[in-house]
Amino acid sequence: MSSSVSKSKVLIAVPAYNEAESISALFDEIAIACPDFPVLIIDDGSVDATVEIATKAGAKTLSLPCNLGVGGAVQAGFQYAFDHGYDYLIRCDADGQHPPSEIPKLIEAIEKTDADLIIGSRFLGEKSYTSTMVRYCGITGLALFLSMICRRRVTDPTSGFQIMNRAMLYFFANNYPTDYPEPEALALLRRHGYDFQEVAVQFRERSAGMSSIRSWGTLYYVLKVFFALLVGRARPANPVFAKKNVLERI
Amino acid sequence: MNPNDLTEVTLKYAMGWNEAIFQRCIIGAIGILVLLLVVRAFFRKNTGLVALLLWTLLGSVLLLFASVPESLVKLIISTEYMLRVRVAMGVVSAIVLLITFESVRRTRLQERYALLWVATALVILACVFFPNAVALFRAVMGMEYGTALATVALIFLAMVAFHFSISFSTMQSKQSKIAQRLATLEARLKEMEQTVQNGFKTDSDAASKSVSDTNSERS
Repeated sequence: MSSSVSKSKVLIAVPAYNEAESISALFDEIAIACPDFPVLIIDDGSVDATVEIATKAGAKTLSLPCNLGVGGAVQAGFQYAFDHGYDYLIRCDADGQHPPSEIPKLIEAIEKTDADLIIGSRFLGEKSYTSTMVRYCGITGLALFLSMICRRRVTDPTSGFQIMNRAMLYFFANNYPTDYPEPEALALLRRHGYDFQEVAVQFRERSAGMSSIRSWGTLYYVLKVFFALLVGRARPANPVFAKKNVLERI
Repeated sequence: MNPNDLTEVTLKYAMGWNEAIFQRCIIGAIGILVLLLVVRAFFRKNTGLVALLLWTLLGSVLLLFASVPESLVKLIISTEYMLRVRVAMGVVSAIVLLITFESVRRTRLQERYALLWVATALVILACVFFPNAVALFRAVMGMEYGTALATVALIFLAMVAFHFSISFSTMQSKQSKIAQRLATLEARLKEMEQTVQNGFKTDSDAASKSVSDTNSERS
């Protein structure tokens, strides 16, 4: 059982790329849902006023000098959180798809279980989240494949709405896949002895901006992830970052 | 060149090579040396599997070249031109696939770059198994099967090269941004250090002043 999250040092990490329109509203929502947790905006080389608006709203900012993609940006956030001694990290994306009002569900789940990572899945509960047919088939296929590899139930392999503990934070700060990282990260963490669980949450439609996975790119994405997962199976796990060896170091 | 002429030329060459005992011994010796080194490296486990495979291939080819067994030459000559080309290109694409997979597995190559190489190898493999796929080249350009295959490979390699050019350009601009940010940070750090130093100097000046006042009063 994890210790009470409210008594630990928790950071809410928000990766953002040109999200000046939605960042202010998101910050207000987070302030209502989780007023005690500091917010870190990870600016992935934005060229608009994202950083200025975030700083004015009172958030911490981590400004990357150039665009690294969501994997690189989020990993920078993990490194920041680990170096500053945080015990838990909550990831909430800046496009408005992740409603901050659902964050308490993640917190409740990680307190109840032994999992190192809790993922908010939009496909676990009632399927009120709509997407294109192509995307849905691709994601479901990927979810089935991942469930087989990870020996854990996976329904939403691309969800970035997550909470993780310090051990998981250390692992991801040092080992995080680059493009489209969420599915590969799940397989990777299982190979090194960590555990994850899904919990049902409600997503919203994207409020502003463009998705980084366009519909016709879904096929390329799914192929690329399958290839990466297969190759990942062939790699030996790195014992330096296996969970049992990490616990003394953090 | 007519495939029949090719057969005659190969046969003539093989007979001539049969006489060249000295050259054959040298090449055979090099081949045996290479294979011995491969065995040694295998037991020492200090070389990658892919490198070992390639060296084994080289050593075996050299040895084969040196020995020139009549039966093998007869076999190669008797097989149809199409079959020879298809087997050779099939082996080449299999090697490319193997090297790519192994490099990605050892994290020396990222998946996004490997994908184009895998696509190239798979397309060549498809042309090997379905020779009529390159019928378009034969109809339009009048190319033989071997040339058509080489053209397909060339096109894909050009795509790979272009992809790399784009990647380099992106990386270059990112590198500039990172370098500029680093320089800015260093300048800020220096200015901060300077401010702190000045702060210390002012304090120590004030302190030394009071000490010397005391001293001058005493003396």
